[in-house]
Amino acid sequence: MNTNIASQFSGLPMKALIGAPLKAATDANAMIANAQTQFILTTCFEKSNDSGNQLVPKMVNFTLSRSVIEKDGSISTQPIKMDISIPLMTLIPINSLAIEKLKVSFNMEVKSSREIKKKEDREQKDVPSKSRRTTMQGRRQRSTHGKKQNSEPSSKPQQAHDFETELHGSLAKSAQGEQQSSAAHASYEVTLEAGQLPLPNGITTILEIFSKNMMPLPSKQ
Amino acid sequence: MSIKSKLDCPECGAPIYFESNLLLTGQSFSCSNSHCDVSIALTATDKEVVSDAFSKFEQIRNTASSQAG
Repeated sequence: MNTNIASQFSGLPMKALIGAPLKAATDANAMIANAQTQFILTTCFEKSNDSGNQLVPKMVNFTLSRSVIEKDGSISTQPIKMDISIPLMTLIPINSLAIEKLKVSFNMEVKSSREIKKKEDREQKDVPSKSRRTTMQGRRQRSTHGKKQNSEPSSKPQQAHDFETELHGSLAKSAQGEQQSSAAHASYEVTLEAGQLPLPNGITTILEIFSKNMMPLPSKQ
Repeated sequence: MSIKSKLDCPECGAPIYFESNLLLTGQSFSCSNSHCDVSIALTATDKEVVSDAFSKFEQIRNTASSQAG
């Protein structure tokens, strides 16, 4: 039975069931990565005027406000405004562009059950037959016949009694009823998880350099 | 749709969290470090460049969502 249940799964297109969603997700990730790269190169970078095709980061200007310490050691009441040029790339949350998790799961359950109940009730009435008929007479005769050899024959007349017995019976097999049941259960679960890959080292390095080299400059009055 | 992002503070390095739509309106955002009183705001001259960049990024994100969905 178990072999039959296992064979139920043999026809499942596991390759398609598991591979197709994973491939779709991979293709989507690749397409997103490609679009993201194009976005970074075309939007966050621009060609340098000085050196041909060299790309330089596109900068955007921010106004930075902060308090400063006055000459007398007190903190300024009015914040000082400064200009700061920030790479446009650092403003975009690039690392959020990816399919974070992919989970493919399915359950298949095959159940097989068979139950056979057999109940037999039989009544039997035995009618008197030659073999079951017992005659006391026969025994008596045999007994008296034995006595004849050892002793004198009895003066009393022989008394013969015939007894007939009838056997009534009932055979019931209800308690021994046959019951056959079998159940098979099989489940199959496949879970796949695809995590997000970290940013390439090149982009991480560029972002770190950009972040560490942002220096505010005093605004031109 | 607004995009949430962050920028490292030029003074202390702590993150300065901002939302794209509020940034484009000229609102200033303060450093998350309570001991740092730096706040930044986008200048009006570069508003268009940043807006264009966020729009394109939004398009890519929508494409990614539709692929994943």
